[in-house]
Amino acid sequence: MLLIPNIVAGFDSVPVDVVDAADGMGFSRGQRWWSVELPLAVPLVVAGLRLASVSTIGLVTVSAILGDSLGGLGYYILDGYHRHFTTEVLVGGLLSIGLAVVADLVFVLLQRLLTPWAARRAADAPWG
Amino acid sequence: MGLMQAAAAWLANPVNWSGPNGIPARLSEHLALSGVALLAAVVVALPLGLWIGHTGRFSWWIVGSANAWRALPSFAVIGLLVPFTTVIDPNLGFTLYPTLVAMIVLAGPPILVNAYQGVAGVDGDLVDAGRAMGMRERQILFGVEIPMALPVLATGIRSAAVQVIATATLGATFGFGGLGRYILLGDANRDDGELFGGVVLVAALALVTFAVFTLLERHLVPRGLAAMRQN
Repeated sequence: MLLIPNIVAGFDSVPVDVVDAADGMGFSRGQRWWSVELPLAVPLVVAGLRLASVSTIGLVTVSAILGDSLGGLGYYILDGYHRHFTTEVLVGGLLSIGLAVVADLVFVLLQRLLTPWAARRAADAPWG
Repeated sequence: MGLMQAAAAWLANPVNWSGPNGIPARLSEHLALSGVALLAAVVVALPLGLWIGHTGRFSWWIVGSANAWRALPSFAVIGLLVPFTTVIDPNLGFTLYPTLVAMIVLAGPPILVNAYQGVAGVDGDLVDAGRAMGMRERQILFGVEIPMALPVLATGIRSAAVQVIATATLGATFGFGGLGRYILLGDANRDDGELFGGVVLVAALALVTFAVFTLLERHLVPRGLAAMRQN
């Protein structure tokens, strides 16, 4: 659900001129897709992956509500809350936030490696 | 199919529509807290974002941290706040405050970031034209930049509103009422009707919120700008 709109937007954002230029240079459709459209779509595709990974991590935390066997780090937040044991809540909360931030950074690094030319632009996507 | 039927039966049962645990009561709790949180976030984040967008001061801070805010898991934010709010108030600090503060904290960034980006993204030529016409800074902000930025501003507030509705649902785990209560109780009582009835209510509320803010956005966008975007 989070990935598809971003992937579509990524390919939509490829300038028509660039696609035309590739056609003019005699690229086949496959070549054009692989070596022109895909690389230019990467920043928005990665933006979608970042959102999806982060919200999935958030969801796992929440699923602690549904039982001890689920929830991963969210378990500590909930368990600590029920026992009025603030250290456990803090540990669970900080670890889940840390995990989400690290996952986000991994994708940022991935994008810098894949598209070093686009590193500055992607940080500017508005919300929503 | 059984789940949907159980949910429909639960929703149709008049018992669930009255009393302090009835749907109207829980819905108004949910909406009241969401409204307060959204209002607080708008009051703090909107002027700040507009100011940063207009002057360009501290913009490095927003550009650098905008994406980090999206990484925050709501559940963890509420949990992290508990130890601090209990120090302030042992009773409400253990129930209402963590959820409320988390809602404001999570609703602020979309409003702030979009206000900044909306205003900062206005064509520099338009701002210069306004200045050349003798408009004061305040007139440029309210007469040129804000109208041009309205679509982006409205999208930010809409994202925040949906986020707030979702976070209020989580608040049920931390002693706040609202519609999340049904999901929690339905799970604890092994009552599928209550659980999925709650799920349906929360999902419907989020969709309605989204739709209302989308309509609001259409009405707010100045006519000239709407015509420009269509071309």
